[in-house]
Amino acid sequence: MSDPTLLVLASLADGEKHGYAMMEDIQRFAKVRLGPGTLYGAITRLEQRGWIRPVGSDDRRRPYCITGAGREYLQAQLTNLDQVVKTAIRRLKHA
Amino acid sequence: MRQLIRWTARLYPARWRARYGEELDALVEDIQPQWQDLFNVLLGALRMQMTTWNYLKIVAAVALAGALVAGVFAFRTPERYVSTAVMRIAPAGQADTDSQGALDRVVQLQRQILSRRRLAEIITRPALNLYPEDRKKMPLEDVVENMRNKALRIQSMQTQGGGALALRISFEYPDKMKAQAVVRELLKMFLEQNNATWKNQGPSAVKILEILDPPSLPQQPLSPDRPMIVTAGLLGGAVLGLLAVLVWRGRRSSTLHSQK
Repeated sequence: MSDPTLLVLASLADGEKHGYAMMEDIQRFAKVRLGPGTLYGAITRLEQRGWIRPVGSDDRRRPYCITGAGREYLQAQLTNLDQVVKTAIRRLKHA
Repeated sequence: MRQLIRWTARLYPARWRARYGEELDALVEDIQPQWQDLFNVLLGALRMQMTTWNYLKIVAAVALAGALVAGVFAFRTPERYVSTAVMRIAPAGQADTDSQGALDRVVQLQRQILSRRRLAEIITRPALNLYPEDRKKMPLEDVVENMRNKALRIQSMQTQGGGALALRISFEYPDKMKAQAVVRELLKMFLEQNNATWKNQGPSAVKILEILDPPSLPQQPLSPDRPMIVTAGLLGGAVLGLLAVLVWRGRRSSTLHSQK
């Protein structure tokens, strides 16, 4: 999985994080290093779609959290992905 | 590197920077910046610019791209200089029939001087060494043919006041000194050939009387006209951008129409 928007949503699924924390988290669980441009491109798109929102903070390192709509979208995407993964594993076993 | 990335981040649209600029700067401070981060931020800025483009920006960008391509073409095209000389070939006040005879004689001289053997000798002369790249790629005969048809111009004309016939010799070449040297050489050949003929045939042959304008050393190149090429690229790009916008708008309105 390398879609930056899904990776950001997955990172925020267990709580709010700022940009650098997301980057570190994604690198840890997905072994993918998102560049600053890619990360903030994804954050911009996700916020425009209402799937994440900034958490009130005066700090330059502003944290974000996932919204209800974002959680639903992530859930739907993961279900699809899960189905793809299960099908691929089953087919590999029978091949 | 960190500073370079910060400067690159200035390429994001102003509205985007007002919202996310400080956060991106803070992130760049926190990470160990790498070269790929610089390109990543540059790419991010370009993508963000494209999402906020309006028709005017598209036309301006395509026009600028056109000017850039034209600029590269203009500066890669070697300059070409033209050296010119003028010789009087008949004395002032001669009758028309004499002038016609002189002209015929000059045409004959010209044929001898512009022969393949003579031009090949000029091209391969070590001091001149003309068209070294072309000579690697094509036979010398073709190089001679190109020189004769494209770079050399010999025209008959009337001197100022219309009193006498004159011959204008010009040669075009990327090196202005060599352009002048070739015209000087051709002039010398004309004089020598004419004197030899005059001696053999007697005074009835036309004798080139004098050199009116010696071979010029051109200061300005004849081509390429770089400002003109860049302007044409800019205008061409603007027209292309306008066409692209019209096509885009047409497609978008037909898509919206079919959705309704």
